[in-house]
Amino acid sequence: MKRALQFSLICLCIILLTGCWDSRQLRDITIAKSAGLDLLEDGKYQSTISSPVPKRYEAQERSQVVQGIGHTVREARMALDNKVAERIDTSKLRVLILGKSLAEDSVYNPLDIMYRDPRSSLGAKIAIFDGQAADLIETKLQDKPRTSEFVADLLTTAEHNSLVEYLNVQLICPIMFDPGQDMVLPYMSMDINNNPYLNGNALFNGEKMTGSISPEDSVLLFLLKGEKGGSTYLTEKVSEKHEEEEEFITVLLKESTRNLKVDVNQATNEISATVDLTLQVEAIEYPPDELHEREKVVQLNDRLSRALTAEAEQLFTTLQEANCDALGIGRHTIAFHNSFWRNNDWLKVYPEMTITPNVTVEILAHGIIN
Amino acid sequence: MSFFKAFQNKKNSQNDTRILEPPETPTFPASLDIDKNRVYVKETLHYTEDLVEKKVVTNHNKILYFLYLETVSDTKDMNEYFYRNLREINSDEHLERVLTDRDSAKLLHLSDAIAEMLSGKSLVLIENTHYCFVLSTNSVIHRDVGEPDNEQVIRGSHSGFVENLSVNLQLVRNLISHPSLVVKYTTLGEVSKTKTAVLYMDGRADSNVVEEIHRRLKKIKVEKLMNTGIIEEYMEDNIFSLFPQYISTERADRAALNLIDGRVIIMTDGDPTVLVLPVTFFSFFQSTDDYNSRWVAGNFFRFIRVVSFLLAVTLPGIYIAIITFHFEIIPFGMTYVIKDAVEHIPYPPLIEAMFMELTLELIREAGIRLPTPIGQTIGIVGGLVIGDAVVNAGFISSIMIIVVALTAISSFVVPIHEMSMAMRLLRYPIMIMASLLGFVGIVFCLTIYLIHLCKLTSLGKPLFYPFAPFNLKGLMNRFVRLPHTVEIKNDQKENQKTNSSS
Amino acid sequence: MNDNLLISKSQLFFFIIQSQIGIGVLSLAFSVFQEAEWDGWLGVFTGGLAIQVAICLMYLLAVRYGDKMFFNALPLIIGKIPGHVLNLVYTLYFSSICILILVLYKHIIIRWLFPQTPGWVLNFLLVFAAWYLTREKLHIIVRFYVFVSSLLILVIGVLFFAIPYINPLYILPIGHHGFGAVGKAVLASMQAMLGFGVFMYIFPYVKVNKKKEILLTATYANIFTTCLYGFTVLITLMFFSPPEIALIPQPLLYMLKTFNTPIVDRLDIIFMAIWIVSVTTSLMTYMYLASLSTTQLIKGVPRKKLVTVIAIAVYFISLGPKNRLTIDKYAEGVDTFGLIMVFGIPLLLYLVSLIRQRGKNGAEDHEKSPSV
Repeated sequence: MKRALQFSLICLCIILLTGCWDSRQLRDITIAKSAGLDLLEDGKYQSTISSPVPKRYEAQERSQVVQGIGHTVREARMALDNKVAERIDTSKLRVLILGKSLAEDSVYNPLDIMYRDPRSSLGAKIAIFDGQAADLIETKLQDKPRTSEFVADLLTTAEHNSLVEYLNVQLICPIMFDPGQDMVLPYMSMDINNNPYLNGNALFNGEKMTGSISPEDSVLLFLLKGEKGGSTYLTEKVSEKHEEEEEFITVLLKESTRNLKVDVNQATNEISATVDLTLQVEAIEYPPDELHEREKVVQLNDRLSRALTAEAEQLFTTLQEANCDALGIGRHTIAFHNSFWRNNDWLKVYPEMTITPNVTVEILAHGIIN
Repeated sequence: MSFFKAFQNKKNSQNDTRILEPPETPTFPASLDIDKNRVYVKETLHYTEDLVEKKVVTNHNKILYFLYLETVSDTKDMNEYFYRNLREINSDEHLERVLTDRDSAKLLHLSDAIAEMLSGKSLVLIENTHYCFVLSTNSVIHRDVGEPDNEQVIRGSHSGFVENLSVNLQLVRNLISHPSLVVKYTTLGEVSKTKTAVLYMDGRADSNVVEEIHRRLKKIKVEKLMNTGIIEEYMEDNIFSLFPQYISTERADRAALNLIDGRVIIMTDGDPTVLVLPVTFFSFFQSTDDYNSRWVAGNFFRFIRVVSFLLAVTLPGIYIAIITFHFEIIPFGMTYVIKDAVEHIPYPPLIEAMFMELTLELIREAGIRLPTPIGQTIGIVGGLVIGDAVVNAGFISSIMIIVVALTAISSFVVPIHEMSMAMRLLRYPIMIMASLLGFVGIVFCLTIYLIHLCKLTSLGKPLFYPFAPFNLKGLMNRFVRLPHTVEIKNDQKENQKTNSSS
Repeated sequence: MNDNLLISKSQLFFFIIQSQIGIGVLSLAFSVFQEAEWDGWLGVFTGGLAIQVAICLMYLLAVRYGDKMFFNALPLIIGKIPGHVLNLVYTLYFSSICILILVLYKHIIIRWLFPQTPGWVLNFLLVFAAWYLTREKLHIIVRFYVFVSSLLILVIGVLFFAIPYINPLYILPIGHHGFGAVGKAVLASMQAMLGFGVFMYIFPYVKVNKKKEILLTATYANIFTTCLYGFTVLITLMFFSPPEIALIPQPLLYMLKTFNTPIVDRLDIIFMAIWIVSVTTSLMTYMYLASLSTTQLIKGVPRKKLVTVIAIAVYFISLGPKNRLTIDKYAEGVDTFGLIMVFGIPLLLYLVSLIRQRGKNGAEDHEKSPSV
């Protein structure tokens, strides 16, 4: 009897004494919803986080923004901890914004801490900001939800429209590490009235940002990459130079097929790539209204194809200048022309190689009027 | 550990087969002297005041004495015409014939007659004879065979068992009119002498099981046996288990269906609840409604019941684990809603949950014994008022109230009362482990429960059949409610199947 | 032998796969990548073939003494004292695998979920669950295994989340690293599949009409596990680019960390909860086998008591290693040990029994051995 009593007493003690090894009570934690990382001029990192304040006793939604500075990102985070009453936790991070100066230095170094921590949120969206990321995080938007949600929603919509790729902190990692591919990240800016907007995409070479492209080029780039969102629109000028009036057409993408071919000329040890892109589209805006005429449609197809091919050529020049192998031509070379890959330095080959785009457009339908 | 020794399960030991029928009173043959007989009866019954003695003298001057206990005998029609008939008797032969006609038994020992008197029969003593008669004048009190309150169905038979054994047997016989339905009586309880019936269908029930039940019934050594609760514990293979290993029911149709399925039923006199043995885990999730409603709907409700079992057992634990350890898995939209709710709660989630669960158990326990109108008030006061006030006061988070309420409702869904009691108890270890180790703790608890279920047997049959041991055809027959026109044949007969598969 | 204590063919199937799938699945892609980079998946499938050869060998050995327990038959094959020594070696082998499972489990849980929780708590829960089931007879153990095998559906299900994000180009060009590297990957992958041998030790417990059905069942189990592992490794290799996977010791968990679903974020936590059950079953198998071989060694002691002793011993030894490097070294040692015990010893035994049989002039014909 006595023993049984002792036994149950021990059990009780174990239960009562132990329950706190790894418990992180949700109520004792400040959950960072968006974070910004910057590289300051003196080489220190600056970390800015924003976290919504529980609204129970607050009249309106608001969020707190705090900043910390340190030599490593972790140190900057620790500096943050000293400014917040509760522990900061980034495991529910929704958006991570990197300042342009940081992106031009290296993207991997600040992200290392996220990849290493088992609790970090690898599903967070990532974007580059033209300027100090802290500015974007600190922006108080009027008549809009919290900044973090605004950015996240903006990016989600842009993914749908093929303006940016579906990416998060983890999904960029294989691309960043792969020598045969380079990543393209959303690029945001702030207009004069302090309203953030999506300003195309930032081009990377390895882990360094080397350039940027406009939203219009972004759509074409992702089509050339073989990725298509749910509703992708293209607006193109279809009038020839000698025509007096400028004509534009806006089309909605229905189907797109891409074919990437990499050829190695063994004799000259040169490499070239051909990108065939076939787009099947529906015209959704074309004020001249002549789409019932067969000739007109054929002509439009032809003009659209030519215009887009020209644009694609331009785009590839930009990419090559930035040494950003966004299409993963290098990956194809590794896979199919491995000996060439091993014998050449891709970083030197890529900017010099010939990439021939070939866009074919086919108008399938034109809405409910002709 | 002498403490645990007291609980040691001795009913399975084979050596103890003492039959418990000690003669209560020494035998007393009926004497020729009628007065001696009368004195004997009165003395044996300790001059109880409800003993009635009536003297009748027949036409040929024979003196008869009628003795009965007025409280248990129904002597109305005897009073009306039987005494009159007796007075007109002229000869001994005539007397004997009249008595025999009235459903009587001739006894040589008065000591035997005493036992009969106690069950409501009347004793007839005749002058100068060495025997006596007992007349069946039992008065039977029984209520209507109405629907049992705790096992109501929407459609189907509404008759339930009552406190009287023979009425119950009649109900079952009415539902199964088949010669193979066997009834075996035993008397249990050294003082109460309660009549107990074991019912099974010969050829359908496993003979090993029937034998085992009889063996275990013989072992029951208790002074009083008023209900099936005592038999239950003797029938269980593992009394420490939280899971019930039998079904108790008050529904005649459920009992009959189980009989046809090859199970054995134990009834006791004076208790409307009967025991169904052996059972499998999933019998607890079946309701006779399933077989009366359309089969798709029947399956859906069964599925709901199994889900409700899982919910009732794990939901508070999962909530505690998420709040304490794994809030990462809450989707984005919910994170802040939940954080808002728990922001100012002073207690750790385990205490919070325990407090709320115990409150709920209190309300339930208080409500059961109160008459319905007051019971409802308790429900409202307990559920609505306490729930609302506790959230407003900031003791308990509103999410916790939702979790506890959901859990409580889920535990009511299961049709068998024993199972829902088990569910209530099973969730506490999970809550404690969840607060210690999050999901790892929950998985550990569930693993232990599952291993336990795999080990458990009900009268030697695996309880978790047809899942463990897994049997697809058994699953289709037992767990899925197929249309009545579809029949999946098991290779062998069902009971053999359970026997041979390990 | 009591008919009720036997297990059926399908139960044997699940017994084998549950013994195989365990701690190894998380890091399989990483360990084969270390040997053969993106050709690692070839190693997994080739490993399946190699295992098939071993299964046939074990079957041939087991069928000769079909009505005896393997550990019982050992003294008959190679003489009394060598037989007992070999029994002891087997006990040590099974116990060392138990210890390895516990050490790795503790390591992974501490790294992924509970950095501050003391390892003794985590290991205690696992050992307790294993002890609680292993005390029972085999037919109850397999009941549990069959039931928890339904969780494998979820394991396969979560892999499908990765499919939209895979890039098949990552595993091209195929066969780039040559046979040597693939051969090493075969060894690496086999370490995650070692449980296939269990059928040999419980041979007489399986109820079949013909002995050959056991071989077939073991083959099906091997095919299933090889495909599951192959599929997992393929998905993982195509999800991470080669330079990245070299950095990630548990690529499967890491991959699941990326995905969000509307109901549950962070699939890795859910996956880990399911995976614990698979680890427990592997531990149970080896604990059971260890106790089985010990019963032959120490006669007259009930197996239940031996299980308790083994559980306690294994538990305390497993608390020792904490250092990553020590663990790796130990794992390597156990893996080599395992290869010897699973390939070397059966082959040796088979040869010995062949020679002995020739001496006895074919006294025993295995086809005629009475079925149990």
